[in-house]
Amino acid sequence: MVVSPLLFSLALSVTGFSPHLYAKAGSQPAAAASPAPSAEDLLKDSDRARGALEGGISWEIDVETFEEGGQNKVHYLVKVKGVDALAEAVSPARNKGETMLFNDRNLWFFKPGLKKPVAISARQKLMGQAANGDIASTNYYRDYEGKVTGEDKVGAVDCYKLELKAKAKNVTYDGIRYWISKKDHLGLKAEFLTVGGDMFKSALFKYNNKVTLEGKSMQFVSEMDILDTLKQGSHTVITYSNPKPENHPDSQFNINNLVR
Amino acid sequence: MAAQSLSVYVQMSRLAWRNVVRNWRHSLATILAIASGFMAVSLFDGFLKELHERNVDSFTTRGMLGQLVIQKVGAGEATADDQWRYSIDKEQQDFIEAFLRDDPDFQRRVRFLYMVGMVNAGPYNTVFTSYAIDVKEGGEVRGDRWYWYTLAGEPIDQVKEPSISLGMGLGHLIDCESTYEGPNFILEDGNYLPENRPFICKHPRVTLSATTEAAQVNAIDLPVTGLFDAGFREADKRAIRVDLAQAQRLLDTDKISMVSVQLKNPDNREQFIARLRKAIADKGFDLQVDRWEDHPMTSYVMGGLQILHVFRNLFMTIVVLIGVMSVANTMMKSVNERIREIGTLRSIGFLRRHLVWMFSVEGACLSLIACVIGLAVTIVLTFAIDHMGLTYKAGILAVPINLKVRYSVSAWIISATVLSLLATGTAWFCSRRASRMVVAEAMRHV
Repeated sequence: MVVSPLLFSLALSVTGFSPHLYAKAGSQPAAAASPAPSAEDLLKDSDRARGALEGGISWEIDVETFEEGGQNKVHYLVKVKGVDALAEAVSPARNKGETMLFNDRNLWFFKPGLKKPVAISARQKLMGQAANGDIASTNYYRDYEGKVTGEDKVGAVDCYKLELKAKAKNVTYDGIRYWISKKDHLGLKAEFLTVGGDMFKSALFKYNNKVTLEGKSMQFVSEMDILDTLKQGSHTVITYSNPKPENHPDSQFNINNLVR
Repeated sequence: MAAQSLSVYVQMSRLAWRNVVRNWRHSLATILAIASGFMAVSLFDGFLKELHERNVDSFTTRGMLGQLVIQKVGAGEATADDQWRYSIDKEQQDFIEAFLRDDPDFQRRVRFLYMVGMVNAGPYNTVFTSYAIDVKEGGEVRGDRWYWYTLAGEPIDQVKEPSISLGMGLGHLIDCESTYEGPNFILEDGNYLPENRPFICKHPRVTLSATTEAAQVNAIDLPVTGLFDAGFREADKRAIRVDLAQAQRLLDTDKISMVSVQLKNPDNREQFIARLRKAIADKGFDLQVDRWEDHPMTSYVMGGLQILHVFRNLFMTIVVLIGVMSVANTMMKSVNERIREIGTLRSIGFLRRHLVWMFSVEGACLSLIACVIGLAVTIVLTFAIDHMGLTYKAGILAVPINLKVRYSVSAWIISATVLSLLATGTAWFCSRRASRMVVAEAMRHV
């Protein structure tokens, strides 16, 4: 069975939220003029804008992959609660009904016609475009030790430049170079490093969506452009739409309920 | 009395030989049938023998499995995703190294590490699965005939910097092709003339990416220095060869998948295995030691050979049946045509058993002549096939194989013995009925 790499990208993009870490949800980032915030605060704030919100949330995603010889686009509905996530393909017709379920780091795949969900190993998750999912992961505060190493610009935006080092060995990328805007504390650019310290992939983020949480409006990720450093001319654009906080029942994320 | 009796049998044997010579036209079909059967069985067995030796060589020498393999219990049946659960850790490696160092039969060992990941070259991206090896020791196990394993470029142990060889099929997928246009460099054994044949890669360096033991992403960058034949076509599309150290760096591990051992004297294998197993049991490690031919990696090929041997036996049975029927036909005709002769011989005092002996000797002579002819033709054909440089494509194999046949002395002896005994037995059976006839009746027979 071949699992669509796009589906991996989508589903992995919503993994690993840790609501208990985000007590400051809805709070405003520090003003630009104030002393440089800690790396932890920067990571917490930037994670929130990429989906690490307390409670459940839903959104839609278009995952468009551009490779030599063509492009591919799949649309998904995504539901997230805590460390669990469920992503279901809506279109095109050939992918419709394909579902990915994340229970923390465990990944399951199901599609119509299968008798039961298939477990996807860590190795399979990282094949080809599948690694995009971990790039889109919003768990940097939990998974990485951060250090502000300087200041830089992404386009015209002033940013803090952070070096992130994996806290545990089971995190997909051993290191990340991360650019977080000074003004809004939004992660604008990331470079994902191999164990050897070489760049494996890079990503650019846009924040044109808004989410209202506890009566406050906040910027939310709208696009992620992932570039495969090892594969020339290949990149994936994930476009987020309709993000809305929702409380999902736990049963939706139960593997036994995946086969309907 | 005994001497007189013996003289009668000698006399009957001479008579039998005279009949064979005199009636050679009658016997020709039988001789040809038996000779053809002998030849077919001998050539087929010689071919199987060659195939078997090729496979043994392919695994033990070219494939660097030596005489035995050490790995974790159950590793042979484990899937790729269970790799780390079935890997040999540093403590166990140290134990193995110490044991091997102290054992008098030990000659050298090769460590293997299974790896799977992606090969990236420019816009190309494809999966690889392979075993990384100790390059130096691997070259020593491959020996003079197989140390040069590349069809194009150089083996990685001949290159100073860390590098990678690609299976031809994989090379093709990422635009690496041999540009060699010289004469045939594949030698009689299927090995290659050791020379750096040219090849070209659109992207001379490739990046291997894989997940580490801890499931993190890692990548290493290596120059492509050779293209090789990984044996099976499907394997060839995913095969790479890199040094163990590079693979351990890529997978960020100090573990290995297995160790193969080459002994100074392969005949001491069973004693060596017994000693090693005892040491492992004393230490309480969950390691198993297998003869190379019992290792799951080799089982499908050796199993295929077993099927061919069954086929050979079936073939032999059919050949024997044809031979027996042919001899029976000839002898029955011969006996029927010579009933009056039988009557005459009986009337002048020869006993039944003398006549049965005579016909049996005729059957034996026919089959022996046939086997001698079959043997001569087999030797000529074997020599011719071996020197004609014929090749054949064996379906799943990546490169054609030289068609070779071994001189299978054991098959010759067995075939000749079985065919002769059956021919003699058939002749004996057919002559028994005629020899029982009443003398007067036999002499009246028209």
